[in-house]
Amino acid sequence: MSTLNLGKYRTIVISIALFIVFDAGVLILNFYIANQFARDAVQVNLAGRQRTESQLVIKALLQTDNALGSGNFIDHPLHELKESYRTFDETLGAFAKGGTILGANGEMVDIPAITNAYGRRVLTQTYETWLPLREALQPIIGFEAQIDRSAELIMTDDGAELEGDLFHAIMVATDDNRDSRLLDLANSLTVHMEDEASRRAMRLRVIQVTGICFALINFFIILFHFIRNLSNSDAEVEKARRETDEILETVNEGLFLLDEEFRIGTQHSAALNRIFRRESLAGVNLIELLRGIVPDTTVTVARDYISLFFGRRVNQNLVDDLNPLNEVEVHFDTGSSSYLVRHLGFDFRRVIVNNKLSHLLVTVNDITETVALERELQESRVKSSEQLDMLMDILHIEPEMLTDFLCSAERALGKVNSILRRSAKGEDVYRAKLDQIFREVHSVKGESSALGLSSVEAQAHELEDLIADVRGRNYIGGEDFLPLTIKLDELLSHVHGVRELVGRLIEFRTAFDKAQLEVVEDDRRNVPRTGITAVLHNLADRMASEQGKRVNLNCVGLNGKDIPELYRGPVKDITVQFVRNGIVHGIETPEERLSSQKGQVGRISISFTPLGNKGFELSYRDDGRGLDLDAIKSAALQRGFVSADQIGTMDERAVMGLIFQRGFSTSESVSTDAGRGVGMDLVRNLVNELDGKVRVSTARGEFTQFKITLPALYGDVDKAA
Amino acid sequence: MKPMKLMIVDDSNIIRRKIERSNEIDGLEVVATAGNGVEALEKFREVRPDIVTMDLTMPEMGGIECVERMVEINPDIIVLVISALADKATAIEALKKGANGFLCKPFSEEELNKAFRELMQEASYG
Repeated sequence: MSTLNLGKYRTIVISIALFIVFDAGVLILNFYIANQFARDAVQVNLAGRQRTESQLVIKALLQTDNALGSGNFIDHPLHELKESYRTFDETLGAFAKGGTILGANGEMVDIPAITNAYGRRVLTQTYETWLPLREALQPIIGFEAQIDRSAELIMTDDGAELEGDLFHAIMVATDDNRDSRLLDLANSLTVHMEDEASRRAMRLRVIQVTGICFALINFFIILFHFIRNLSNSDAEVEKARRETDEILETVNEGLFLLDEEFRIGTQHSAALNRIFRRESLAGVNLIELLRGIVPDTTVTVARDYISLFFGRRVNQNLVDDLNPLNEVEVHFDTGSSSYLVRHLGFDFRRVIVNNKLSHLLVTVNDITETVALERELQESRVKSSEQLDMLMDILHIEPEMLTDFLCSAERALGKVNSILRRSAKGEDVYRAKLDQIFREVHSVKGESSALGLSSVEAQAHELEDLIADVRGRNYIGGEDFLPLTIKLDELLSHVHGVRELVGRLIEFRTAFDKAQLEVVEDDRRNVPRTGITAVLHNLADRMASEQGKRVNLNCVGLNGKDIPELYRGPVKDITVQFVRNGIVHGIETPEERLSSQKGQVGRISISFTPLGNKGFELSYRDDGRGLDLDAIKSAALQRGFVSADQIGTMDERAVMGLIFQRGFSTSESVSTDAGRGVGMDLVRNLVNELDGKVRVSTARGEFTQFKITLPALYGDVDKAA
Repeated sequence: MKPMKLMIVDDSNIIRRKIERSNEIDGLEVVATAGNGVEALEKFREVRPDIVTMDLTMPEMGGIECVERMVEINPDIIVLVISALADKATAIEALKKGANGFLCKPFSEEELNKAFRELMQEASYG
């Protein structure tokens, strides 16, 4: 069942209905009384006419009698008598019983019977007075004159009878002042009816005034209600508006309504201005607003995404993941071509009013700090994981070697630092500086790689890349060294990090040592590889597996104390370089080796032999593919180390010597293991620095051998021997 | 109340089985599975499902076209796009063509059930 729901308009509708009912009531009553009024007027008029007619009957009677007596025509007065008689008698009848009679204006009028007591009494008296005269007049009214001359009429019997009737009627009419009594009675009736009519008129006025008063009271009630409701609802609206304003002023989020044309509503939170750094936002198109501060592709996707909410199909709780604006980077132009970068997070909800989608409620937050915090967290997670990796790396390295490495790395990087800081000018000096620092960094990389300290190796490799990049430029300026300094700091702090970690481990170890002293004493039988041997084995194992090769490394005389302290560093650097080159370039893959009738496993032998007075011999040999002289020649040509003419005149020894040139490499690409062409250059420099000699021998497909002799160290000879 | 008919469209067996297995909501019954768009449309006409889960990258006919055709056949169909988040624009395109919701791969059983509940609630209103 449906009911008319008037809500807050109920009172006012009821009041108006009452007003109409009152007015209509007064009008209907008015109409009714006005009708009665008209009828009263007719009755008063007719009562007045009775007065005249009563006298006209007497007058016509006398005139008829007079005319008959004097021999004049009687038809005119007789006719008047008849008319007056009929009018008087019919009107009297109508007053008594009601009926339709001819009115004063010649029209038929309908009049009701007089019912009130006084009126009836006067009527009764009038009847009683009229009836004898009425009877006396009957024969005269019934007389029809055949002859229109009275002189002749008087001679007839009819005339004589008429004269007698007239005489009798006159007698009756004048008897006991009947004629004046009739007049008096008609007068009384008229006066009575006039009184009745004015009483009714008075009643109508009272009713009208009362009705109007009620209507006015009702009108004022309506007015009062209306004004009170209006002011109440105004107050409520004002209160609600104030509350909304307070919320919008205070809330930290950007809040606004968005219509289907992507326009921002007129009311929005004050925070929105702060977030978008704009004064007026009401009516602004959100898409246009975004266009200036996020990439165009994001704007397009965002528009499509927002449009989905205006459609009916999409469930708004199931598309949050797709929101392209839930964490969007925005760039605010701060003038003079600089930008302020913030991160904003948008959220969209449908606003449903009366089952219809009216707007989207959009919430915007500046989430820059949250995003920064998340990034920091992520970075610290990565750092922790790196540190863990580093720890795992460290745990696999022999402590003595690690300490050695840290000392030499710090020394090398310290040297790089001082080279970078040394003031210098001129292209040549710059290039010389670059060469020097490159060698140092390369040796740090080699050592860390040999130890399996992959994080240090990776950083050193990055620094090498930077140096190589600067070296490759046509012109080098002082400012080109700046990025190198920054990267060097990173590498140094990384190396320090390793040292710190080692320090922590030593603390642990000291604590454990106390408890484990006895156990350790029992566990000395299985002596592990130490010193350079361990470094080279680590390196060989790692590189062989990376290169998909198999290698058997045999080291003789390379353990810690076998080598004089002064030579330990260079021997390590040199052998590391040999092993790297050997595995990358020399040793073939197992398949290749099988097809050249060799064993699958490549062999590398390294030995360090004291030669007494003649010093020491460091020997390296692998059974790989040997040096490819043609490849060396073409690489040297390609890199511009020699001209085509020179190549033609070079013997095998000279060609092999090319591999010791700075920057020489046969590799096409650069990896951490080979390709920069710095390796053999490093070997040559080290050997030169120590006043030693290098010899190379090779056979295609069979072997490569390096023999380095180093001069005897007189302080150390005895010890080494 | 009659259970709603669910059809699973995904070219990965693993995902199909995962949806089938994890689907323990009252009032939902798996009536068909399909591994590509063409097969999906064939079975769609045959079994007249109420809800479809839709992968976007499939052989023969991709998810977007498939969604469009299904909505043409049955405008009341409810489609849940299940896809990796790599390309938001593609997923939004599928929603523009008439899909009702999006679930990101990989998803948990709880997330899947929540999505189904949301969609079934909506269906009972509509």
